[in-house]
Amino acid sequence: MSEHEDHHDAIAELIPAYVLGALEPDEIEAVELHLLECPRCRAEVDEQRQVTALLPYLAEPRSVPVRARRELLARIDAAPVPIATRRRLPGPLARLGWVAAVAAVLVAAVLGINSLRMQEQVKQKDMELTAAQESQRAVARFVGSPRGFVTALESTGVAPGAEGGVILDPTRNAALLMVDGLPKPSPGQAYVVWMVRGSQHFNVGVLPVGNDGRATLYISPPDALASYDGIVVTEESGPLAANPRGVRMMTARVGQ
Amino acid sequence: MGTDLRQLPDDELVQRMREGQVEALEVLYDRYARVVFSFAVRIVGDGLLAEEVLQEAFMRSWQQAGRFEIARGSFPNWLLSITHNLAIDEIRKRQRRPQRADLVDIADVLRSEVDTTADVEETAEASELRERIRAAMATLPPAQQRVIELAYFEGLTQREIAALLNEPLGTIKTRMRLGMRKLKEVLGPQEEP
Repeated sequence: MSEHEDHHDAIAELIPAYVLGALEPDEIEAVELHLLECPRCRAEVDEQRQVTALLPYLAEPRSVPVRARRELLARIDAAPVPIATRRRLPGPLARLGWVAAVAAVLVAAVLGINSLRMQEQVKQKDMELTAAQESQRAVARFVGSPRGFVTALESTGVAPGAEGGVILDPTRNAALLMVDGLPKPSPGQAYVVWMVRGSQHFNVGVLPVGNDGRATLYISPPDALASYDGIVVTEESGPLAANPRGVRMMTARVGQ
Repeated sequence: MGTDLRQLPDDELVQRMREGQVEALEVLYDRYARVVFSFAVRIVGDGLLAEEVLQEAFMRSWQQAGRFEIARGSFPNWLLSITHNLAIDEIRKRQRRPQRADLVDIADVLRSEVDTTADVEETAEASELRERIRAAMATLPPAQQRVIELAYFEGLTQREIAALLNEPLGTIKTRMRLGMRKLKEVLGPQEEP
């Protein structure tokens, strides 16, 4: 039997535990990598998922307290607009449209970042004015940079509706990451953004996804942008994770 | 007189949710709240926490209706998958921190009324599916049932199950694999619930 077949068989044996959610993170990664290239195993996963889809019905039926409906409707009343009815950001590959559309958001994003930074420093009022002026100039440079480019930030499939893009500005060695349609992380979890170089991952910040599924993050990586292969967003149990252990939500290529 | 939403199929109701029609959500709630709540109770073991999971699952279905694609699965499958993730997250969080004892209005809990609409409107398919999966599980040896339930309802990995049951990891993997294979055989090709 070939090495390839051995690997296939080893992964196929993990599929029952994969669909039941009983694998360790390294095993999940191995299965998901294999699934990308193996239609047989993808079909097997689909079939076994049809089995797991019935497991919830094993629960003993229980009547629902009427209070739950009241509270749900009150929550919806407070935030009534479903995502699909909102105007979506243009596709990340529509470069010119994208850049034009994000210009206003960039201003808000950079101002927001400066605002956070200022909270950490001494709160001097004159800094706010300076920062606002600087951020406006930064946005202009960002959007107008002749060497800048946009790359797609693609969903891994865990959040199928998520889409986004990254504006990279090698001149200033900075990047602006924007997403739409990403559900808020589970309570207690955070979306951590990693710059990836080979097998190394560098935590460059937390993506602050709001109830509207949108977020922006300004990234100032420690090394030259060109030295990285990509960007990955994972869901982690805390913002200060040293290594990615959680589910990969979105990825982008940086190098060519 | 407008359309009686209760006559509409799930995908049509999801479309109406996308358009912001809360009444469509209510009809889906009537159909599936009981299944979702029962499932959540089974995982988190606490009615109050299960209510939170129930609300959050429907809230997400409302907010993310635009992402639901009927071609990729049925609405209840999607909703139950959201519920599973939320409920397993809850029990994992609970392992990391003490049980809460806050902000619960005990009087409100005690006088909690049952949502009879959700009881009555639950789809006939739900009880049929209950019977099918119970019958299928009953064909498995208890040890295989146990590992599948520990993984799916308690969010344990194979290694954690092996440690809990004090059994070799290989034994747990075999039981899980054989159990799932048998369930697949017994249940046969599935129509989407």
